[in-house]
Amino acid sequence: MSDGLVPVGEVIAVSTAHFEAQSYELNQSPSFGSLVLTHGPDGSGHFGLCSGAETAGIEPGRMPIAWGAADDDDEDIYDRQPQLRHVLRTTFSCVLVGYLGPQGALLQGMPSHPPRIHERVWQAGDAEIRAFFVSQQYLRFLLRADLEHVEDLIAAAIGHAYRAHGGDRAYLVGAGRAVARLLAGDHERLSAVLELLASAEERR
Amino acid sequence: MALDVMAASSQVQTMAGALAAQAARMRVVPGFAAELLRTWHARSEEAQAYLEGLETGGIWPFAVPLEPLLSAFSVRGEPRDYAVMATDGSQIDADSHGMVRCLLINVGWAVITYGVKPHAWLSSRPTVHFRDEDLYREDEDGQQREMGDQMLGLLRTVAELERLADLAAEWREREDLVAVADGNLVRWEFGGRNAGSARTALLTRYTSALARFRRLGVPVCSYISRPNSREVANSVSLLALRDCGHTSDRCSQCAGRRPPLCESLRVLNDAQLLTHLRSGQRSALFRSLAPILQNYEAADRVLFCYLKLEDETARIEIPRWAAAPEYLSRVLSAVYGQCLRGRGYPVVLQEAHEQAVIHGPAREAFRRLVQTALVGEGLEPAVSLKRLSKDLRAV
Repeated sequence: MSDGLVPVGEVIAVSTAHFEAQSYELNQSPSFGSLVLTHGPDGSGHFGLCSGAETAGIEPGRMPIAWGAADDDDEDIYDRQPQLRHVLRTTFSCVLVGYLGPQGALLQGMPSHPPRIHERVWQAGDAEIRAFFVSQQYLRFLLRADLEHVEDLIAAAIGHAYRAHGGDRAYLVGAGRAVARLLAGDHERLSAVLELLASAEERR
Repeated sequence: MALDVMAASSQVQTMAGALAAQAARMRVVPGFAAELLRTWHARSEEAQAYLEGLETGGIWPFAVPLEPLLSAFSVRGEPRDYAVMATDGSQIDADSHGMVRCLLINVGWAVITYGVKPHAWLSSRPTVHFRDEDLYREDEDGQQREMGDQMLGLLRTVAELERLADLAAEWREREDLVAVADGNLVRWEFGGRNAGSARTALLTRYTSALARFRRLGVPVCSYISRPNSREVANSVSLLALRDCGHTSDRCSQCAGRRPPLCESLRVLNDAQLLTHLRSGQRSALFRSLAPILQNYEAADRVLFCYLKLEDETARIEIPRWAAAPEYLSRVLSAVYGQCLRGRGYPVVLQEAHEQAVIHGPAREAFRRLVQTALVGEGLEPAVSLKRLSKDLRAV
């Protein structure tokens, strides 16, 4: 499933509806709202939407501090302090939105088991994104996940799917309608998402 | 409440008063010291010859200045390409009230390269010591006794230097390499009148490790932050005594002063004495006369100088061979550069320390590891009742 895909990190924490991964490259992480996937040696696979990233010290109690001064040269701080790459790490959080079903079908829904710790995380390619986002059922998980920036996450996820569909306006309209149905009772949230989607279309 | 703060408070007040009175008496000392330094800076050869010739400085350690006392040399900026390495250690102590007598020593290290290919290698390695020869030593009466905390600390010190020497061997192809140890290279604590066979054996390991750097051609130094040493102050005190023409401990310049001014110099430590240094300058080099150095190979006997930083003065100790001009400049540039990068403390020592330190959860994990291993072998870990009482703190 991961042939040709770019590995971006490794799972370091899991729970029923969520997993966390450490990026292989410091300061790099999947884009907010983008689709990632993992797969285990038993053929299992999981899909997640990246809902946030953080860079901090690896050891407990070690806080990043300013190493430079205002009048420093432009030399990259990571070259000036080579140990930083080994004492900092970037982690990203993902909401579980789907899994690999029988015959390799990409299914949206709560998986029966979360991924295992230390499974590699791959950035989904356009083909996987198109195959996964045939429906908008995953939006229910996002709304239930009690996330802080859920409107932004919904809009970002749809935006990524829209671009993977080659900027197909019909896809965007369909996704917007699905959001409208789900958020029919929450006008404020719905407006926020639709505004973000409109600016996503302009950026395309 | 465990501490009767009220009962301590009046004693603390008395202490503060005594310190204030002492400070008042000592107000003239820095000026007197500065005058002495100026005098003997101009008579540097005489100072060196006199101090070399002294058989003893009394009970206070002193050092021989190899350059005029008020020397101040600006340290060259660090080179663009260089490599620096350091080790540090920590331990989980043998716990006689716990499950089993064992000692874990964790040596952490950092190797950092700067310039064209900046990189860092950070890691650590633990060793577990449980055999009798590691934990017991023969005392003066030939009895086997448990090694105390001080001895276990020496074992750790030796492990740190041996690992640093191993790293120096691995990296010796680099021309611009500097090794930095934490603390002193002059290991006073290995000496003493009744140094038993265990302490002597550890000293031999230490001096052998130190000699390896010379054979590898890798300059090594040690870095002491906020040093409290008074060897230079004691040397200046001895020079003051010489000048007043008396050989007794009474100075005619300050008849009636108790203590005499020349002895009062000892309230200053070396860093407080050498106030002429500006940020980025090193002091004169001094030769340590610590008796323990007689056990070091001649080329490894330790010299030291002070390095002024923005907010403090650090002490750098260096084996005699590495104080040769071609090495000294490299060492000081690297150390000073490390301090500038590290906001006042060498980055490489900070990172070595972080690799060595064992946090609370890791200590607990080690304890569980021991317990599981013992139970797995069918052994019953027996915890002493004293330990249980400390853990439970029952009421």
